[in-house]
Amino acid sequence: MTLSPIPKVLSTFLKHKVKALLIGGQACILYGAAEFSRDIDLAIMVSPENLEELRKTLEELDAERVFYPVLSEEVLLRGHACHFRCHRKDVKGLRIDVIGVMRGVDSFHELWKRRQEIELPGIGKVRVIGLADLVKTKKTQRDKDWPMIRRLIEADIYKAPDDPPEDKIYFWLVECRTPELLVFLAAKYPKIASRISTNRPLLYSAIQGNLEEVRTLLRDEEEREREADRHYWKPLRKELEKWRSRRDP
Amino acid sequence: MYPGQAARGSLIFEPVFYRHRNKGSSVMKSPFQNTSYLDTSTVEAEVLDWYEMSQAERFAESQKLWEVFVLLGGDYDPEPDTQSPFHIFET
Repeated sequence: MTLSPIPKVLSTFLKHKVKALLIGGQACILYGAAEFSRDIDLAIMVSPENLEELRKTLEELDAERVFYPVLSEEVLLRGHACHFRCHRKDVKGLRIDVIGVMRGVDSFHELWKRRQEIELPGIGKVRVIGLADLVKTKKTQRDKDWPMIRRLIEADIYKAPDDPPEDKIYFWLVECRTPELLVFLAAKYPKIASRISTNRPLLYSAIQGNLEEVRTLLRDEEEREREADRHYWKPLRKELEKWRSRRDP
Repeated sequence: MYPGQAARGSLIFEPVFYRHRNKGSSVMKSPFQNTSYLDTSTVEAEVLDWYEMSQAERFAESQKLWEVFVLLGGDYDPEPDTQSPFHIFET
């Protein structure tokens, strides 16, 4: 019997039919970028009915809110995350974070359409955010998210067939963060790389095989995304501070 | 520098976890592997093992690591992360 609380929590969410997508570290494990994560992050559909099911699920897990804000439609739609800690004996201590809206990705409705359903023995069909959307959620201000993106793409390429479909090649060329692999892909698929290079200028350098320039431009790309993430969270952090100081909502 | 050299040593998790895994480093060839740099000469064998697995296999292996996590007195709280948007609220 596993000591992990993860299967029990996922089963409880499935039992209550909460419309939720696995994101974060657990999704990275499934897609090959991580080996271990100590919590569960979920993107959830924000609706009164779904939040009701979520509350029932949290109640069954004896989960209490940690930090701010208090779970509500309003705070989730504003882009905040709500944090919980389980107290039920078999899942004691496990953290669950839920979010309804994320920077740089489509609405939950669109994410749901692109979800992947993965059958996990003993749990059931777990709904997971699509790989391309997961990559977008990882473009944050945190150092630890960027190596994840790199591995997500590497794992996807590693499992690809000899003759990958064009949309896959497009995806890799748009999101790959391994300089050597970008140069390799640009050489193998020069026409597609050339088409995309208008939107991703570093592909010009990749086509030319200029590894050093690709590295530099990857760092620039990363810094722009980090700055955009800091900018996105600035007003949200102010709201959090306000709520924390007033002890509401 | 040969292609893919930078990928060396890019393991994200502590080696202790690898030592507790049952899988060896018997890497199977990916069809795409013949034409890319993603092979054992450029990427850690353990990482390629992980890439090679199915999603359900990865999940199962990850659950086994909880034994190590519990044995080592692992803490459920996230590691202090000053870059997290929630950092000041979690202290």
